[in-house]
Amino acid sequence: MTTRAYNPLPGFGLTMGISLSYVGLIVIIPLAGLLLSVTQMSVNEFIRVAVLDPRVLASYRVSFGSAGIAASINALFGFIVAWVLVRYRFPGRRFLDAIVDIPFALPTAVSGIALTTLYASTGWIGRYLEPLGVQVAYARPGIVLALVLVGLPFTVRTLQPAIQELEIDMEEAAASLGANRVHIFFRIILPTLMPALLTGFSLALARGIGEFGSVYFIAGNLPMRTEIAPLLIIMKLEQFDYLGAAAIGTVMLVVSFALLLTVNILQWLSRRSSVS
Amino acid sequence: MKTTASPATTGTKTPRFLICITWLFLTACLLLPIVLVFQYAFSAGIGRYFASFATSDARSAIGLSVITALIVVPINTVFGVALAWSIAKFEFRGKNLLMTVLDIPFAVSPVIAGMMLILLFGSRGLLGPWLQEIGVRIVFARPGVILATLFVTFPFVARELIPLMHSQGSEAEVSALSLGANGFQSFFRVTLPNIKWGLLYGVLLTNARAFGEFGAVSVVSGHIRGLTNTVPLHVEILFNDYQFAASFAVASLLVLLGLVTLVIKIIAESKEAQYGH
Amino acid sequence: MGIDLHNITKTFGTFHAVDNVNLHIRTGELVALLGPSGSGKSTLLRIIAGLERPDMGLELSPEVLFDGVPVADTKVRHRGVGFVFQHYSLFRQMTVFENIAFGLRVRPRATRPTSTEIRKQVGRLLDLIQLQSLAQRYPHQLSGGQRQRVALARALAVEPKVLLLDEPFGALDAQVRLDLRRWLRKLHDEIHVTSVFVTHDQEEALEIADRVIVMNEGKIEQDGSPDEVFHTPATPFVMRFIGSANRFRGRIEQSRAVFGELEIESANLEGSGHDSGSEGEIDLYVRPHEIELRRTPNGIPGVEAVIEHIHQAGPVVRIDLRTHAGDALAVDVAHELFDKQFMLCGNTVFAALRRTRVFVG
Repeated sequence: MTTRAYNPLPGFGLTMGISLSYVGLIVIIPLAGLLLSVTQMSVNEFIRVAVLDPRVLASYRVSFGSAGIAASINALFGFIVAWVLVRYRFPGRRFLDAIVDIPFALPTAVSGIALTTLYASTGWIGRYLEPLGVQVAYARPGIVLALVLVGLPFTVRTLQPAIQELEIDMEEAAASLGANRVHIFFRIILPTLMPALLTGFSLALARGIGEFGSVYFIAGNLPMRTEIAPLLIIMKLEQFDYLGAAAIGTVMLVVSFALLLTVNILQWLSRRSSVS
Repeated sequence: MKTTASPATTGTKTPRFLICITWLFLTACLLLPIVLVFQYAFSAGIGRYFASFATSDARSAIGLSVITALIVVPINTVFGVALAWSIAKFEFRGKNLLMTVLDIPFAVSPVIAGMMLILLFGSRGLLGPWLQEIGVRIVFARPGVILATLFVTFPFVARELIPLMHSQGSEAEVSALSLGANGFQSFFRVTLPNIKWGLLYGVLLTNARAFGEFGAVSVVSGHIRGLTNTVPLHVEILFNDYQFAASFAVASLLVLLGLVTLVIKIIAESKEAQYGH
Repeated sequence: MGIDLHNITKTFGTFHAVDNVNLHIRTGELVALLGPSGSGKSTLLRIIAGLERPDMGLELSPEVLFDGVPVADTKVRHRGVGFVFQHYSLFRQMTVFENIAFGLRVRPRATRPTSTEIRKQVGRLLDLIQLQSLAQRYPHQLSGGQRQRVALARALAVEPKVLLLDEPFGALDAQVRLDLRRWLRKLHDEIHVTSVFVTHDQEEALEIADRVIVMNEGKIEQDGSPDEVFHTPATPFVMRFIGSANRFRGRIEQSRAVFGELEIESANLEGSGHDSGSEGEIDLYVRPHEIELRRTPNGIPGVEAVIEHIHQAGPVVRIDLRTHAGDALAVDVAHELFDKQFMLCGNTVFAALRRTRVFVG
C-alpha cells in the first residue's frame, strides 16, 4: 500500500527539509524556550502571578474585552464592506478594495500615532468629540478604535471569497418561492457565510488580543483602566521578572492558539461542506 | 450607478446606502490617518521635513532598518518559496499542522515574540549565562532586532505564494519535465515567471513589515539610541518628545513603503486576472 | 518505438485504477485507450509517461519497456515521451514560439541546438500546425483548438519516441473537435510517431485510431481494430459502451435460448462466453440498426412490440417500443424505409432481430 501518491515533481525532499529546519529554528525553539521557562514555576505561583493578580486581571479585561468589541464591530462593518465590494459596481470600488489592505502594510506604530493625533482633544476629530463629552484617545474607545483598524482586513478578506461563491441562483430561487429580503438574508445568506464570518471574527480577535504598537500610543496606559496585557509583559521584562512575563505570555498564547484552532476547524468544516 | 446584485436581495436604495457606509467607514478608518501623517509631516515646511532624516539618530535608525531588511527579506524569501513549493505542490502527512505553524506569527502577539527571545537569550534567560561566557550579545543588540523581525515576517512570502501556486496546479511544471527540463530549469523558466508578481508582493510586504515592526523589536532592542533603534522606534521617541513634525516625517517614510507595496499588490492581481484561465 | 506493459496495477487507497494490465504497442501505431471515466485509461497513460508509478506486485513485478528496455527507473524528463494534456498547459507567460522552443532550449549545453537551428525547427513545426502567423502570440490570445495544436507542436519539438495525449480534444467545442481529430489522423500519417491517446468518446476512438483498447474498471475489455471492436464486441461491456444496444435477459434450456417469448436455437447464437451445451443465465444484445420492423413475422427470430415514441429529428428515425414482456426496445430505421411503412404510435409491430449476440449473464 502506498502512503503517498507518486508525484513526478522534483524538490520535495529539498524544500521540505529546508522548510522544517527553518520553521523549527524560528518558531519551535522559541516556543519551547517559553514552555521551559514557565515550567520553572510552581502551579500556585503561576496562578498567583498570571491569574489572581488584580492588575494582571484588569489588563486581560482590557485586552480581551476591547479585542472582542473590536472584532464584533469588524464582523458587522467587515460584512458590509465585503458585501458592497463583491456585489456592487460603483465608482471607486477598486480603489476601496485596494485600501482595505492598508492596515496590513502600515506599521502599527504609525497608525498608533496617527489615530492618537486624530482623536486627541486638539485633533481633527477629537476636538469635535470633546465638547460632547466623548473621550476616545487615552481611553477604552481609543483602544477599540485602534483594534478595529488592525483587524478590518482580516474580516473583509475572509468574507470576500465566501460572498463571491454565494450562488445568486439560490437567492433567486428563494425569491421565486416567495421569500422576502429579510428572510433570504437570515435564512440563506447568513447561514452560508457563517463559517467565513466566524473565521474573520476569530482572526480579528486573535490579532486584537496581541496588538501592541497601535494601542500603546492611544491607550494612555493607566494601570487597571487602559493597560493592555502585552504592555504588562514589557514592564515585567524591564524589571527582569522573566517568569512573571512568561506566565502572562503563556495565558495569552493559550488563548491565541485556541482561536487559531477554532479558525482551522471552521475552515475545515466549510471546506467539507463546500465539497459535499 | 450599475449594480450586479440579485434583484431579490436589493432594492434600489439599499445599495446606495451600503455603498455610502462603506465609503465613510473606510475613509474615516483608513484614509484619514494617512492624510494626517503627511499633513503633519509637512506642517513645518519641506526643509524641516527633510531635516528630520538628517539627524544622526534618524540616520542610524534608518541604517539599522535597512540592514535588518537586507538580511531578513532575502532569508524569508528563500524559505518562503521553499515552504510554498512543498506545501502547494505536494501532499504529505502533517501538512495542515505546517500550515497552522505558518499562522503562528499572525496569531501570536509581537510582544510575546520578543519576550520569547529574551527568555532564550536574555541575561537571565535559558541560554543567557552561556552566551555571556562566549561574549555574544543577542537581545538589547542588533542580532535580537534581526531575529525578532525574522520571526514576525516569516510567513508573508509563503502565505502569498501558496494559494497562487495551488491554483496554478502542477501541469505546467510536469509539461516542462516531460520536455526534458530539470527541476531548476522548470522552476526558473516556468514556475517563477508564473508567480513573479505574487512573489514581488510577498517580498515587498515582508520588506514593509520588516521596516515597520514595532512590538517585537521594541521588546528586544532596549531602545539604545544610535545603536538598536529602528525607524518605528525612532518615530516613537520623537512622538513621546512632542517633536510631532519630525515624528510624522519619519513615519511618512514607512507609509510610502506601505503604499508602494499596495500598488504592487494591485498590479499583481490584475496580472493574475489577465493571464488567468 | 514499441511499448510493452507487463503486470501493471495501480491502486489509490482502496480504489483499483489499473488492475493487472498487459499490453504491447507496436512502433508507429496510433492507439486509443477508450473507456468511461474511472476506467483507468488516464492512469495507464500516465504510467507510460512516468507521471505515475505502478504498484509493486507481490509475485509479478510490473514492467514498462520501451523497445525492450525497462524504463521504470527513468524519470519523465529522460523518457523521451511527448505528453499533451487535456487543458493544453501551455506556458502562459511565453509566446507560441517560445513554448515550442522550450524543449530544445532546456537541453544540456552539449546537445542544445544553436538558436538558428532552433528557429528553423520551430518554423517547421509552426508549418506543420499551420500557425505560422501566430508565432508571437501568447496562449491566452489563442482559441482552444489553436492552443491544443501548439501543445502538440511543443511535444513534437523534442522529437519524442512516443506521443501521449490525455483526452486531447476533451475541452474543445464539438465542431473544433471534429476538425482537430481528422487533422491529428493526417498528422500521424505524415510523421508516424507511436501515439497513444486517451478518450471517453467512442466515435473519436473509432474514427482515428489504428487500434482501440477498451478499458473498464482498470481492466482491458477488448483490444482490436475499430472494426472488430464495433462489430464483434468481446464482452457485454464493450457491446453496451460502443454504440447502443438492446438487452434481453434469458436462459439456455435444452439447447434453446429462451428470452421470454423469444426462443432461438442455441446452435445459431453468435457471441462469446457461452457453450451451446451448458444451461444457465444468458443475455442477448441487439443493436438498434440491426432490427427490422415488420407487420408480420418472416421467419427471423423476433418479438411483438408496441410503438411508444417515434423521433424523426436525426440521421435515422429512432423508434422506442415496448415488448409484451415489458422490455424497452430501441430501433433505428432509415428515413426512406420509415416513409414507406406508415407506422404510428400505438401500433403493434413485429421486431425481427437480424443480428444478435449473446453473453453469459
